[in-house]
Amino acid sequence: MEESEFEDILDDWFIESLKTYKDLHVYQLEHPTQVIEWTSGKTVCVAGCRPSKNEILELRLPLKLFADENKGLCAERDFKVVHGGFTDVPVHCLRHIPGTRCLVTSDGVSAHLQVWDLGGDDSDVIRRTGSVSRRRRSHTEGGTRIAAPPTSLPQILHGAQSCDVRLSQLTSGQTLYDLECDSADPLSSLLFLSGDVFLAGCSNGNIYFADTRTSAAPQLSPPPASLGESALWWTADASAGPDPYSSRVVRLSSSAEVVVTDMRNPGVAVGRAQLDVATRGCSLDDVTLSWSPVLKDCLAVSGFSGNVLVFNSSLWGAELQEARPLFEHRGHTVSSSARSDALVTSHVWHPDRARTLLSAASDGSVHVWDWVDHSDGAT
Amino acid sequence: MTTPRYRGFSPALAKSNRMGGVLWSAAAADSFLPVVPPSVLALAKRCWAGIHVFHVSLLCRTKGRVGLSVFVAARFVGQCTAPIRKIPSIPQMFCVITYSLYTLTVSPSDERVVTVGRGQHHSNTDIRQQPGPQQKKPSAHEQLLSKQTDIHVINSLYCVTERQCFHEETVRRDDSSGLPVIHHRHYVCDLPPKHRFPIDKFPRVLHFLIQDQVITHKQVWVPEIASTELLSCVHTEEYLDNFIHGKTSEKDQRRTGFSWSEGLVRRCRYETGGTVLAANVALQRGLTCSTAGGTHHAFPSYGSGFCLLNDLAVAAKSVMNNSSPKRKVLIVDLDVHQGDGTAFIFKDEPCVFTFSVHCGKNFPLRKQQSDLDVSVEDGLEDKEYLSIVEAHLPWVLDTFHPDLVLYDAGVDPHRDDELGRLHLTDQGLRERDLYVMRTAVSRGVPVAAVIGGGYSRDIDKLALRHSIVHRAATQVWRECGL
Repeated sequence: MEESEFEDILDDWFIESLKTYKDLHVYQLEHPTQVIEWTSGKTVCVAGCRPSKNEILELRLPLKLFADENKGLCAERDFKVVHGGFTDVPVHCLRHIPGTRCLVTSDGVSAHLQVWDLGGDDSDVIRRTGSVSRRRRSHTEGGTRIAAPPTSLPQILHGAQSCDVRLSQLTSGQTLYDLECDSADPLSSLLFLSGDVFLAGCSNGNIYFADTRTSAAPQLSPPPASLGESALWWTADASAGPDPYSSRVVRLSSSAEVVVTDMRNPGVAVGRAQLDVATRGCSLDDVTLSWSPVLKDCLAVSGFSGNVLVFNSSLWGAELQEARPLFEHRGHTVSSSARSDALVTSHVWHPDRARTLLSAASDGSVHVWDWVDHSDGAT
Repeated sequence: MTTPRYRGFSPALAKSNRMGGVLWSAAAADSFLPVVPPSVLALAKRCWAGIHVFHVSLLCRTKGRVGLSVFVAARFVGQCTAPIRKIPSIPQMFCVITYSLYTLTVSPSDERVVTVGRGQHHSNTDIRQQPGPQQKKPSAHEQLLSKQTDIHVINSLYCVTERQCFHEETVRRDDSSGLPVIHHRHYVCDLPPKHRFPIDKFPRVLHFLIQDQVITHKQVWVPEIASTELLSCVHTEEYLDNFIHGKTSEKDQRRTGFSWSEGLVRRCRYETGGTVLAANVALQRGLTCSTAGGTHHAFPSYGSGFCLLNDLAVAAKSVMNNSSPKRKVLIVDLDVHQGDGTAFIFKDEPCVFTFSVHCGKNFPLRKQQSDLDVSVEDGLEDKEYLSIVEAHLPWVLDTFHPDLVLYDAGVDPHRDDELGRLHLTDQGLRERDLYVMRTAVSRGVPVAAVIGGGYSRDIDKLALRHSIVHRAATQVWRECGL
């Protein structure tokens, strides 16, 4: 593609974006990130994933994004690096302990976790303060998943397979809880639904629900029968609510089939959809699936391409049908040069702002965007 | 050397007419015309106060009656090509001068009025028998013509050009004829709710100017809608046909940022008509401002970036084509986005110089080539920005010698602009506008300013920011005694 053609495409997209986004801000990292994690309402952490010598950065989002009423008064439209640190290993998973300035990372190769202090106003350095070492029970590929409990306790839930999920004390490394499970299915997701109840999703589609307060066996929910192509792997997310046992679980397969189930009736699919994306060559680690914390029934999918897709699952029926996205963020595709097509490596929803998301791509771009919902006929 | 345009006039007169100062020097005129009775001269001065009387001369005398020819022209006239010519053999008391603008000759003794077109010689014509395109307000003329010995205040001045009558200028007797501001209520149209283009800013600009007593309603000039003929000197027939009749493709509409509607077409045409009027009035009055304009992303065959018709190009062409030889126009585009449409339209036109200062990273990424492009970095502030304008504008004016400056005073370089990536303040914009207008006006070049781009969801703040150029123009108007 010629330079001028590429510029034309960008110009066309810019004009379109004025209509389709309420806000859109872009940032370019030196190296791409696979992780985005909120550390406050206005700051996120990202980190490099190269084999060695990576940066961990805490970025403050452009203040203009938050100046809802007084956008005219706020000139700050740039991301700002507020804290930074270095690590010798790639960062495959990164979690923030809410209410603290503590981060936990895993390198995607070993079972060890690194513990970091983000630093306060006095320092802009992210320092390594410790680690949680462990031996894996059995040899396995695949990275360690991490989940931070929503309480501010210095504890971390981690594991690479369903048989070695444990809750560890950060400072001492002491094991506080061990998931009672015999099968060694590689994990695809790990998250807390409440202070004590968590979900461990396996790549074969099994989902385990457990409570860290009891040592009883976890509740197992097998994957739904795949109506589309057979799935090589599944990933999952669950929406946290007042009752963790009535959460909605969404599963995404390698063939881009999405299934929504309700934990009260886990065998029945509440909604199904087939996404119209190219799935060849996509691995479990490329894809991100997440419920919106604010918009009911809305979920986002990324990783199959350079776009982030937002869906309204309440429009889906129990029969498998092709789903039309509510919104498609094409910013990474459009702005990556023709030489290297960018893939979205990760995305997150803003915890409070209904339609604000952050996405990162393989070309190092980070976008924060607030999309306009045109679905109800309002233009 | 500095004022070549005054060829054919007495050097004394030329020197006394300092461009930028008071135009009429009675002493100089007196030295030319020793025989004009002082009372008549005084009456002429009163009549034409507010208009720059360039030259007052006595024509001939016949049968003891005095005819008075008052030549009225904008101070910033292009070329004066011929000296005064007398026609003593003709009993009527007319004198003809060739001006590049227009002249009005009144002879109370002979009840005829002659209007002379641009660059043309005319013999006497009885305007009553030859209806011009605009025969409005005959009462003023008849009032005038009914008097035999006195020259009454002429209420209207008809400007007849070769091709079109474009406006009617009201001559005010008092001194409050201020800066002409061009506005039309149809500068707005309905847009879908929450549309990103802040269309309501146009009437708000006028509202604030009136409310803050910067201007009065009397200063507001109302343009006509731009005709297809006028637009076709820039835009292709096919594009105009599609545009006016709603046949633009979806894809082309998307690139403009607007969905087609009849109201949209109408507002674009009025906006263009407004800029054309501003340009033409500036040629007479020296300085004008529109409350809209600056649609510089429009190309001959397509629209782009909220621009559907290129008003600056149409205005430049209209001013160029209505004179012989062609007038030269300098387009100073200080909107934060490059004036790519205008640059493209005039890339091979030697009589138009396009000068654009813009932020490199702003839209459009695909830049055209103006005659002078200055691409600046993100975050540029007042001082550095102004020094860039100061580094270029004077030499462009001094080498190109334009007959008119079209000034796009876009406020999107402001730090609070939602799309622009520069960091100017209100004060910075004001200094910039004052500088551009003073620099041109002090060289005797008229300026027609348009508001250009500005993007904010707070319409009132934005309108106030746009009104900076009108306030600056009012100040320059006063300073230069326009």
